[in-house]
Amino acid sequence: MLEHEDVKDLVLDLEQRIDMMQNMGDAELGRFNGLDWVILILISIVIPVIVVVAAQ
Amino acid sequence: MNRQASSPQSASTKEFHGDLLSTYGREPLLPSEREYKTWSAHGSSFAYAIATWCFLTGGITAEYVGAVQGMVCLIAGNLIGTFLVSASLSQGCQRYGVEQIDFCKPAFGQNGARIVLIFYLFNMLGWSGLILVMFGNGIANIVQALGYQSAHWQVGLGVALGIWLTYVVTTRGVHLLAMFNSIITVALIFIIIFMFYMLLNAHGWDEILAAKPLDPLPVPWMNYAVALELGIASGMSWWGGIGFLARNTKSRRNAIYPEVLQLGLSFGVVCSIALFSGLVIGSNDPTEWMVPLGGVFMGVLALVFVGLANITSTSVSLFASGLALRHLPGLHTTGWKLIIALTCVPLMFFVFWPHELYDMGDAFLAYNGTMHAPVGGILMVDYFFLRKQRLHLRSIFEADPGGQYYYTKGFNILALSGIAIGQVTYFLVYDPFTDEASALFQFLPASIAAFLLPALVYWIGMKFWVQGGRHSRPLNEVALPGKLVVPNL
Repeated sequence: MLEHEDVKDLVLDLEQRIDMMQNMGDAELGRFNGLDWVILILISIVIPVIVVVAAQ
Repeated sequence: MNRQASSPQSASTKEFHGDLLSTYGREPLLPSEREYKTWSAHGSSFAYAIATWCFLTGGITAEYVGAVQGMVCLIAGNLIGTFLVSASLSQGCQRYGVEQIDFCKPAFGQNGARIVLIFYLFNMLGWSGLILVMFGNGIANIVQALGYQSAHWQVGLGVALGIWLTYVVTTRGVHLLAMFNSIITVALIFIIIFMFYMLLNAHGWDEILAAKPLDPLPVPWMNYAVALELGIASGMSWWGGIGFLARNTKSRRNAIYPEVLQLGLSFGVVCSIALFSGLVIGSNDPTEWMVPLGGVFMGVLALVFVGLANITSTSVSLFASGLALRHLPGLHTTGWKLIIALTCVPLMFFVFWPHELYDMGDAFLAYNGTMHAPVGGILMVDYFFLRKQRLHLRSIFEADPGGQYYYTKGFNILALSGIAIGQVTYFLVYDPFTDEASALFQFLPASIAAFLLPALVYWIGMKFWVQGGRHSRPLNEVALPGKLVVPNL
């Protein structure tokens, strides 16, 4: 069973994390740009669909 | 404790029962606390992907199509399915450091996400049980390969051993899991290359290419369509583990490239080896054909590593399931070992009835296929098109009706209806239990239909109904200052 103080600390910790993650810039979590999406869509959708249709 | 929580540095030190509540709980995981860099992200994804389920999928595909068509369906289908379900989950869970079910809350609502949770646990633990039976079967085959009599009870004992090994790995934390996975990955790559070499050496490429499907359906086009559906549905079935892997990655690229390349591409390639063995040997289970082809020493070595691969996959599943269990009342701060022990309880049924439960596996897999697609479609629309990749993190942890993701009594009826629409769509296009299909199935895989239609209905509904009504705030509203009213810990 959690003590009242423990719950308060947990909430405080959670709120602190929420603020940090919410206010963090996207760049701080690694680069990811339009070229990445182009590459991913090409290798995951466009090329596979072409191959699937060709092999039908 | 107050002092601990008073600075950003100390956020990572919050613990209960000796467990960090970020790593072993649902709190947003800070970048500094994440384990996976490029190699470990690829290693963990690979170790998660490669297990006996590859051989199961490849073997089923061999019933419908030959080597070339099967390889296309497995690799291309897996890539498509994996990308469709992982794009939103990987980016969202990595960006905000949230657990997978928490990521579902913006779309499904605070309580609606719990319905997804039930399905999620059913899926993850069901898969884990099936894999552990395959692990048990492998042990029985090793016993046989070593010249001893294998017995029915050895499979159950193998499942029990698998549960214990998984428990040991999972309770030691993500760091050990990552290290274990990285080591297993290297060994697995060698073993898989060796398996393929042995197969080619014994049967030759020409024989593999010429081999006929084992049990094709009477309607010719159906075979290719079913094989493709199997590939796409397999890709989508990674839905359960993606959030866990992405949440633990440090960079956005490492959140998605390893998933597409390992869960999509590598999985498809290994499935193809099982397809080939199924076509020319008539068995998709490498634990049956590795010893005759590779000799006792190499065969048993291969069996051991295939067995360990099942443990790494189950460990990832149980870790993710343990985090999901944190959503249940009373388990928010429970010790991690107890949480993992709880996830092992349903698996005990597989110790006593391994064959009976394994035989129900086909129906289980078919049902799973109807669930991943609509959930994946709804999450993609929600994260990318409605919220423009901006979540209100505070509302994810806010159980008060004033939170942005509360909807109607905590349920977003529209998103939940989307799941039902997706399931009905799936069965209308293709019934995996009876192999009956509509004409549309020739051109559109059932998983894609069940992905697209709920996504479209959800997008229209959210744009013109939910957003225009009670929730009239912009869906991609950024954080507002304030404190949690009813924290959902």
